[in-house]
Amino acid sequence: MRIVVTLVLLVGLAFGAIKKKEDEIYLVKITPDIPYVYVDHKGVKVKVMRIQDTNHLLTDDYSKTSRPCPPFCIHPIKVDKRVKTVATVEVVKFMRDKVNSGKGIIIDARLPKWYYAETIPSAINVPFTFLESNPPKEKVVAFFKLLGAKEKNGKLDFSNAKELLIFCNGVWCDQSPRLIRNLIKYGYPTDKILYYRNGMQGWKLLGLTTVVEKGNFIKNSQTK
Amino acid sequence: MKRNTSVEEEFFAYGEGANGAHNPNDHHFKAAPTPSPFSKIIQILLIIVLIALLIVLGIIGYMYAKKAFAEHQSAQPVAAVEKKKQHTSTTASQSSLISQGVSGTLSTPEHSKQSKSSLAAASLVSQSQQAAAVSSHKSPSTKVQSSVLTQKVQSASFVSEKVAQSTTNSSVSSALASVQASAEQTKKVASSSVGQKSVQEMSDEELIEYLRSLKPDQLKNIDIEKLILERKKSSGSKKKVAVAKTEYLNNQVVLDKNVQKKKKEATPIAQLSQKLAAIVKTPPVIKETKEKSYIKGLVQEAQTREAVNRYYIVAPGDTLSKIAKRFYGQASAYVKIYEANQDIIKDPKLIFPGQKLRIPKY
Repeated sequence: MRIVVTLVLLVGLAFGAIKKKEDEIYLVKITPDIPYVYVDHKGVKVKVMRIQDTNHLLTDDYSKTSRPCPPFCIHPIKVDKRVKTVATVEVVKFMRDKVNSGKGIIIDARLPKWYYAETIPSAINVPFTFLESNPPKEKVVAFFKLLGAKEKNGKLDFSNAKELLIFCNGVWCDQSPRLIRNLIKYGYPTDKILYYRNGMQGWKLLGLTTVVEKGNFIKNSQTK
Repeated sequence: MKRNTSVEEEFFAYGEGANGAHNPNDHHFKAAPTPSPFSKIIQILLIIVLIALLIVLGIIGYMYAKKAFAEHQSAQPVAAVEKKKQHTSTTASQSSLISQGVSGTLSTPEHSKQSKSSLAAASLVSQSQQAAAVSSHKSPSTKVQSSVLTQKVQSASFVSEKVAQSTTNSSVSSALASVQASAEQTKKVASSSVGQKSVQEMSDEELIEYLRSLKPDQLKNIDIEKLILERKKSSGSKKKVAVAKTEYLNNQVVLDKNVQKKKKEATPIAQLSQKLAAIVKTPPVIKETKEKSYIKGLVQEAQTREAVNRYYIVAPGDTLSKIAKRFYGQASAYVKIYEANQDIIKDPKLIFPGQKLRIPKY
C-alpha cells in the first residue's frame, strides 16, 4: 500500500516537474498561463512573446513623450459608446482564439509607411484614409465582402462579418478612431469592432513581438 | 432484603456472567472502537487520495498519449513513404511492386490502429475513427506516389482493383458490372478535363470520397501520375510551416520581401491581406487642407520613426565626438547622441567598445 502510494506520488511529481520546466523557460510571460502565442502573419508563423531581458529599455521612437497636439492629442477611453475598448491581454487572446480560427482580424489603421516599419503580428493594413476618401461603391462592397459581409438586394448584410480589432500608434493617435467611425458609418456592426487604444506604443512598451517588413518599406509609402 | 440482594446479586451475577461469558468477544469489541475511528479515517483518506492521484495520473497520461498520438499521426505518412522507398529498392517485378505498394498503403490504417491502441488504451473510440480517417485519406497520395514508379496502365488497373477490394465488398460486383459499362461513359470521364481540375482542387478527404464514388473502370481513365505530381507540389508548400526567426534583442520579426518570397504560404490571412491590400492600395484623394496637414504630420512622424532605428556599435578608439563627426559632420553634434543614449552613457567622455548607441537622424 505504502509503496504504491509513494510510487504514484513520485510519478505525479515527475510529470509535474516536466510540465513546470517547460513553462519556466519563459521568465517574462504575457499572463501567468500564457507564456507565448503563435499567430500567422502573411503566411509566416510568428511566436508572440515578450522580451526576456528584464533590463531591456525602450529606446526607439515609442519612447518619445511629446508630439504637437493637435493633431496628436490624448484620446478618451472610448471611440463610440457601442464600441468596446480592449487592452493588451485581450489582443493576445484575440490572436489565439479569433485570428487563428479565422473568426477575427487584427487591423492596422495606420498609413502603410507606419505599417511596414513595424506592426503587431498578424495585423492587416487598412489605412484609415481608404474609407475617408469616399471610394467608389464597388470597392467598398469588395472591401466589406472580404471582411465577411454579404450583398443582399444591393445592401450589405454584416451578420457573418468578422470581428475586427483595430489599433494604431497609441493613445495619442487618431488613425484607428477615424477608421472605426467610418466603419460604423458604413453600417459595420459595432459589437464586431474592438478598439485597442494602447496601440503600438502599448504593445512595444510591454516588449511584445513585432513584425518589420523590409521589402515593402519604401515602395509602398503612397502618401509621400 | 435477601431476596432483593439475591435478586440484585443474581442480576449482577447474570450481568457479570453475561459479561464474562461474552468476554472474549467483548474485549475484541471494546478494543476495536478506540483505534478504529482513526484507522478507518486514515484508510478512507488513503483510498480517496489514491483515487484522486489515479485520476490525475490518468489525465496526465491521457494528455501525453494524445500528444504522442498526434505526433504519431503526423509521422505516419513519412513512414508510408519510407516503406514505399524500400519497395522501390527491392524491385523484383513491376506488378509485384505495385501490389506491395498498394497493399502497404492500404495496410497503414491497421498499422496505425495497432500502434495507437498500444499508445493510449484509454483514448477514445472517436479518436481511432479519426485516425483511421486520417491515415486513409493520406493513403491515396502514397498510393499515387507508388504508382508513379510504375507504368500508367498497370498501376491504374491495380489501384482500381485494390480500391474496389478495399472500399466495399459490393464494389466487386460493381467491378463486374463496370465491365459491361459502355465505352462512351469511360470516354466521357477521360475527356472531361473539368472533372480532373476539380480533383486537383479537392482536399484529401474530398478526393477520397470522389475516388470511392468512381467505378473501377472509371478510375483507370484518371491520369493518376499527373494528379499526384500536381498535388505533391501544392501539398509540399503546405508542409513547410517554419516559425519566423525573432531577433533576440528587440523581439522583432524581420520579413525581407526578397528573402521571404520562397517561404511564403497562401494561408487565409496571407490571402486576405493580399486581397485587402489590392483594394486599399489606391492613393487617397483628400481635398480638405486640414486633412492634408494631418497626414503630412503623420508621414513626418513615420519618417522620424524610420530614422530612429539607426544604431552604431562603439569600436575601440571611438569617442562621442568622432562618432558625431562621422554621422553629422560636426563633432559638436555629440550632444544629440548623448541625449539619445542617456540610459547607456553616464559620462559623455566615457564610452566603451561594444556599446550599442542609437543615432538619431534629426
